[in-house]
Amino acid sequence: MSSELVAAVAEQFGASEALVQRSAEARAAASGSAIDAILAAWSGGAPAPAAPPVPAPAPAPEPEAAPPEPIATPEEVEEDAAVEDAAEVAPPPVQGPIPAEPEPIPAGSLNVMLLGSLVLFAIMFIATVIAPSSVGNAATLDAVRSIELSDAAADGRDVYLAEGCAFCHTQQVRPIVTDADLGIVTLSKSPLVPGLQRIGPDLAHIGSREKSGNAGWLAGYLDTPAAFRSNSEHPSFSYLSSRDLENLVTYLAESK
Amino acid sequence: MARRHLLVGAAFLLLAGFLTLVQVFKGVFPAFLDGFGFWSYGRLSPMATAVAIFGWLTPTLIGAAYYLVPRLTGAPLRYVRLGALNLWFLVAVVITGTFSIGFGMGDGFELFEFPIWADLLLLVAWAIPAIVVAASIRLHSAAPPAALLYVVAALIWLPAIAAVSNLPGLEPVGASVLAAFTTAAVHYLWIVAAVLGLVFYLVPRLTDGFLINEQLARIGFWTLALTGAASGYSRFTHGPGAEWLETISIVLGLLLVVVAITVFVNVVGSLHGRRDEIRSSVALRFVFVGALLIPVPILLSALAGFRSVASIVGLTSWWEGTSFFVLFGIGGWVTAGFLYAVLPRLLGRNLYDTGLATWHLRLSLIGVTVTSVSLWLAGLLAGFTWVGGTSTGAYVNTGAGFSQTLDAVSLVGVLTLIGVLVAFCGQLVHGYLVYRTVTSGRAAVQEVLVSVGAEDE
Repeated sequence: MSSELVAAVAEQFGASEALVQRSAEARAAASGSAIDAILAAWSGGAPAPAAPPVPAPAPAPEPEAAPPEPIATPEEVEEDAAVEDAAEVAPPPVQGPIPAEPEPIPAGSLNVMLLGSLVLFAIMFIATVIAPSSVGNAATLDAVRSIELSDAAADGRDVYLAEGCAFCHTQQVRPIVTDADLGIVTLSKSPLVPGLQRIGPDLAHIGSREKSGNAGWLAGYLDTPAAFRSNSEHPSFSYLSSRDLENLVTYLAESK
Repeated sequence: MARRHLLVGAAFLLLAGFLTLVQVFKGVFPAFLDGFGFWSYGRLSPMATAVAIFGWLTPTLIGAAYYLVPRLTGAPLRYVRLGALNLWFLVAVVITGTFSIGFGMGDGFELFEFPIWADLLLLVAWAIPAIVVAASIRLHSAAPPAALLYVVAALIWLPAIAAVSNLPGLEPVGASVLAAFTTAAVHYLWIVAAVLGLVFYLVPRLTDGFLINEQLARIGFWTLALTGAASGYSRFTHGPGAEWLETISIVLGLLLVVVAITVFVNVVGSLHGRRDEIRSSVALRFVFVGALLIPVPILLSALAGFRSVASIVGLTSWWEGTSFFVLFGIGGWVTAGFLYAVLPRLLGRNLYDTGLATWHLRLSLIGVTVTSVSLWLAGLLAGFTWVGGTSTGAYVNTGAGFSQTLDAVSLVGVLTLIGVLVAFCGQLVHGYLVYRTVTSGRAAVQEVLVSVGAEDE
């Protein structure tokens, strides 16, 4: 292999000589041509010899600045692949690929690692999702704090979820100072939606509160919040159907 | 195929940015579009997240995987047409699912709020890229490059996450535990893992160098695999779940710091003494910033899991700030760097204007930082106010009294809005730059590839 040719091509394409050399070797192996012939073709800007003519996949270039000739042309593209995808099916001749002799996948390599990562995922899922769901708190505690929702309230919970109430309200009282005035602590068998964030107040025991526990007041407030609290920032749920609103109110009233 | 995925992802970024902006705007000005169900805060919030994760980051990272895998394995992608068609299927599912949430058909559980049928379609749309890539892998050495390991594993975890996301028969608390698991899994096992794959691919290639320690990157990978999803429950510390689960998630959250260390050491070590290259390559600057800041959300999540810290920041916007930083910060910077690095090669056109890319970096860096810091600050303020109110009796954390507790936070909300607005400006610059590059970028050497040594295919 001529080092002058390699240097010339490297300079022409702004690539390192090592990359050019590797690419030329790969191109020569693929086309059955001599490496020097490939390099000579590249340095002259012409297509490499012995490459079967295939439609070039380049998009329409800017008229005033034609792109350089492709350094190589695609070949052995999968039959069903779109021509424009040809540019993505194998390593580029200039930038970076490491074409080498294909070898079988060695045992203990990527496939095993991928299988291992999936197994690890499954183990962690079982340990931290399935197991806690079946264990929960002590049975006696759960029995003390079990709440049975009516059918209408259960439907109302679906409305609560669909409206994204859980993005602003929680329904969980934690055993910490912050939640000391919010009521009895929530346990794992609670049928209420724990929620993610308190942009608004906690609603775990809203049904027990004097004003907001009143279904009539609550329905009016959800429909037109400003009419009930002048400084309220709560969105209006006036767009809900009367049935959905009724179910939602029932759910909240039963949240005690 | 990679090109289309990347361009579709770039388009969805604008939509995600817009929805996030409207969401935050409504947080500050609740009367805006009030009474319209589609634009209600409770629907808008999951819509914005779904578009960001499913519409923008997912196609972008899948496209990146399609670009990387042939180049790292030397083998052509298989089932190319299936993968190409699947992009439009994924887009259709994301749009349909997002509109379903907007029309009040979401199921309300974090991240996978799409109706069950849309979630099942999403599972199919996520399984196909995993099949395409898994079927295409052919290695030349016993030790796969770390970049390949991260990207392919992330792609294979993705359908696994979707498969468990709608486990039936769970009580709401159990469903929330599941949501914490799947949300953390999407953040760490999909987005962070794939992004790290891109970082470990791009850093050596953009510097014509090498990754300083592949073994360290593999240690990071296995740590991520072990801890990524299961650390999610730390968000519910003190919550109604089992106490031992809290302890496990706190410990795993701490172990995530190992990942942060492996990334930091590898990136800083690999780029040591290459200041000029970082300065001269806008793509490398994006990647460098994203990789360097990966430890931030990891450390803050680990910290927030501690019971003492969770007593203050639990259920506040602290977690929202962290999530925003992962998605629009880490995800945004690294994928943008990837796009700026590979688009010229895929299109045969140089970037339309690298100055615009620099502006994108500046705006997104300022916007994302201001947004996340303001959300973290708001979380701290709210948490301390709640504790103070309860301890002193000055506030009642229910009903109208709750509004008083938020007074201190409202000013920070304006800061969040400004941050999101600046970040959105950066996204607009990005979208414009990608559009102009596609339509009128100066012609450049395009990658035209040969399938070397594929006789046995």
